[in-house]
Amino acid sequence: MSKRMHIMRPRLGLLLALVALATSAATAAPNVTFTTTPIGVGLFEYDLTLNDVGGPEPLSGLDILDANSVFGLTSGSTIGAPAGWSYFAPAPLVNELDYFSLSGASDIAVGASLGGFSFVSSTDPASIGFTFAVEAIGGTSSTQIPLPNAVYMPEPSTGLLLASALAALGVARRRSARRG
Amino acid sequence: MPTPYGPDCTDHGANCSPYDDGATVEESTGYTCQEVEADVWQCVSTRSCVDYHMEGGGKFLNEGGVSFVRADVSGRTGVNGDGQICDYDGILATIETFNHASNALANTVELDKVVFTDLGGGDFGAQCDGTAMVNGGGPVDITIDASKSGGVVSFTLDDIDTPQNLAGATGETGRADLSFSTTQAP
Repeated sequence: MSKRMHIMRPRLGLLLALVALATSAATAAPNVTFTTTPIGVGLFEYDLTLNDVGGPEPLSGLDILDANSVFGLTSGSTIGAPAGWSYFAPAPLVNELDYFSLSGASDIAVGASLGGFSFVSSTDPASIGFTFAVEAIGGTSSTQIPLPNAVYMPEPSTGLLLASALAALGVARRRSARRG
Repeated sequence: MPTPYGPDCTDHGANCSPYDDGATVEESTGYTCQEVEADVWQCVSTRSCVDYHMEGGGKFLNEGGVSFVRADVSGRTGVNGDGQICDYDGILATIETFNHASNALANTVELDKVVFTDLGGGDFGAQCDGTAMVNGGGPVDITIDASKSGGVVSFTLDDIDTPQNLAGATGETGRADLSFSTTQAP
């Protein structure tokens, strides 16, 4: 095995571990993933997907727990819900953004995912560590289902940029090692 | 201090009659001898006008599951100083509830009666009657009971005619809250 391969393996391993971690977080249990898009004037659009993967029942609700204190959301905010769903915005004394399915037909079946949950906030996702607290409501039990914090999924273009940067870094290191 | 508009009186704090030049009377008349400005005592009504406001909501739990609630009720009415506030006209209400167990969405609430009891220290009780649209149909006759006592909040919205609980129960600690306040109206 060449010296080059020894240098590459730990980095590749780290990358694969990160991918595996992200994959397991996205598939092992019901969870929320999200992307963000800067839309100018310091605002970000958050787009969320609720994944009912490995869950015991359909899902009929999604709560963003600190919607007012973290994202500054109020009844005047831009908030979107998928078809067949509606929401109650945060209000005085109520910190949560509560999404709910209007009928059993629009609940998220076990194994399925639903996007279309969105809101606009001035909170930079980097400032909250690219994660935030969420919770689901069971479609059969009508009770709360704790979820892990929402997981940030970079846009494909962001992923490509990151991969390109890592590749460039690897090439630079290889050249440097050869010279050395 | 009350607005001065009654006849002068001398028996400070006593029941009086505004129709008899502020004379002291034994029975309650709804008027007492009050200091309306420094050293000026007049026989004036014990009633005053207040602006009231109840707001809040959150997540409420019962055996059937979770309900989401948002409530904002306000208005202006006369009070007797007995801690109870009743209003039947011009009540402003924005109330929405969703019950996950029954998928019942109640909104477009109009109230024609509210009775608040101010228990002090932020505690209160409220009973409201009116109508609401339920899942886009109606209006249906509803009654609302809300309270806050010792940090525990409750809110129920019931269909009177069926009768049936449309939403609410006990607020989840830390994730549901209601407040009630009054201010003297000008």
